Amino acid sequence: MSLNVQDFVARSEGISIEDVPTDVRDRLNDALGDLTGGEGGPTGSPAEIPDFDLFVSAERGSSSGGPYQTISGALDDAEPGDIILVEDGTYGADTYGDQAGLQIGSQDAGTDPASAPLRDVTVVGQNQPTINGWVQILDPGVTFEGFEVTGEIFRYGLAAFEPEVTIRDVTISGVTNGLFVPSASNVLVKDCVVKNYSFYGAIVSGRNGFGGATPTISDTTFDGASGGGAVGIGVIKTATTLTSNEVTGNKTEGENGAGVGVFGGAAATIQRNTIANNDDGIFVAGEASGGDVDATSNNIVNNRVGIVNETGTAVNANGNWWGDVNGPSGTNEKSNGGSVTTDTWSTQAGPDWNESGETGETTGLSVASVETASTNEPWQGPMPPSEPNRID
Amino acid sequence: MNRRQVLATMGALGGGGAVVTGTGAFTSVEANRDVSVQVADDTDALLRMAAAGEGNDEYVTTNGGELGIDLTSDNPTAAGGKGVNTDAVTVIADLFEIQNQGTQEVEVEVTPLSFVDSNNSNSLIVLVVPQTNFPTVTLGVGDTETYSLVVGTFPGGSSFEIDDEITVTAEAT
Repeated sequence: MSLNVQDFVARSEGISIEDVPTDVRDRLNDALGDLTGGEGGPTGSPAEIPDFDLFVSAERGSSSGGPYQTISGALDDAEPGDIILVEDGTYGADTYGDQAGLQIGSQDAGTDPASAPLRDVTVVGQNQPTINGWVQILDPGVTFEGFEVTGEIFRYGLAAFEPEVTIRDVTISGVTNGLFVPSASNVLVKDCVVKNYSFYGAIVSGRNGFGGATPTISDTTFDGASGGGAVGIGVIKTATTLTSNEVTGNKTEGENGAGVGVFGGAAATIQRNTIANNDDGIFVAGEASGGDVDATSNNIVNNRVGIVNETGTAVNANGNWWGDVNGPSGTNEKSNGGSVTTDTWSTQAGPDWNESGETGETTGLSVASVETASTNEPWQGPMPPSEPNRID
Repeated sequence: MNRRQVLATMGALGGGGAVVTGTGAFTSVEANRDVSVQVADDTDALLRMAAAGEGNDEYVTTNGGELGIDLTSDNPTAAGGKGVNTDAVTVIADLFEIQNQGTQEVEVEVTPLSFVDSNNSNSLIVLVVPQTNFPTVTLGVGDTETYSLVVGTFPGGSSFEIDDEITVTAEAT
């Protein structure tokens, strides 16, 4: 293992990597590489601090040299591909209009990708600094990692409009709706927490003809109970992958909330998630085709109804853990809904799912109706909110 | 005086005794037994700290039985060297070692592993680099870990000094 100077600084109190000038850092890293990089060098856990091009410190930054005081100040000087390291602290000085927030990228990138000045820029926080406002990502390839976002604009906390965007290790709270991810290609949301939201935790949408993409949300928590959330994840007119998420506590007064709502021609792969304590666990409706929904190997437990399908084709729901070794049970309250296929189910909770439970054993095909006729009845639950605009 | 010194100190190690109860019929027994505790130099203690003996021992000092690292004019080399070069990176490989001379496997940690003194244009950085594992090392009875030193100065650093301490802790695993 080849150590570098960041490994040492990260373990020393009162010292920041910014205290070591770039030239010194490079020379020390060369020496450390020679000393520790060969066979017989130390093993262990080096610090996971990325190298960086620009450094931001709310406490020690200034406008007259040294670290940048604001993230927007660093973004103004960043080149495509740069890494911006943001020290622990609270950042709320970047304002657009009358609301504090952070804009990463160019308004024009959506129609003219070549104009994206912050293409492939990474903004990474140390010890999860707080953005005291909203965040919008408007250039492709941006990585936004390690922050807490506590504000909103157009009723959304964090919106990522462009392809190849990665949002990782971000906590969003105190918002109406948490995330907005249009169907730009290869958008990844991973290891995030969305809590204290009052409507939708996330909207994954195929807006404005940007379709044909497969945004992914994985290893993320949507805690509806913390803020009265109605729907954990809404999927609209796009194809998406939802994997290894925890979606809980999404309810409304009329019991029309849902952990995952799939609307309007969407296709969704929903696997290895825990979807619990919601009104409906998974709700499929509108112009969506149940045949395009693959909800397998999930924990779907303690919801009012596990899966509700209001489309004319079946939802594949094999291999799920329903909270009972005997498989799904109960009665579908929507008599004119489509079917939900549960030919097999897991006899134990994930992450060790199996398909040992099979139809013919003690079972009731209950979370779904056997009717396949499509219904044109609108969903009585909360409709997906209006999509946010880009900041001018 | 241009003094840059890193001293190594070790905290006291404590131990507990066992209680054994029996069913004998004695009313009382009183007997005297010997208890002998001797404080040893770092080089002979249960957690041995000493120069590594790999050609860089001149940079290691012993003051009152305690190990120290001294790269200053207070500890010139036999050839007259009195400190690290300016605008340079100096690597002193295999400087000192820590050996478990106790009776149990221990996890050894040296803190801090880095020291920095800098102003707007000059910097002096010292890194303490373990040889086999990072940042801590587990030593079985009789095992030894060797530490190196990497010192960076930029661009001059001649007005800087680091006079601080490292702490060595060892806990039974």
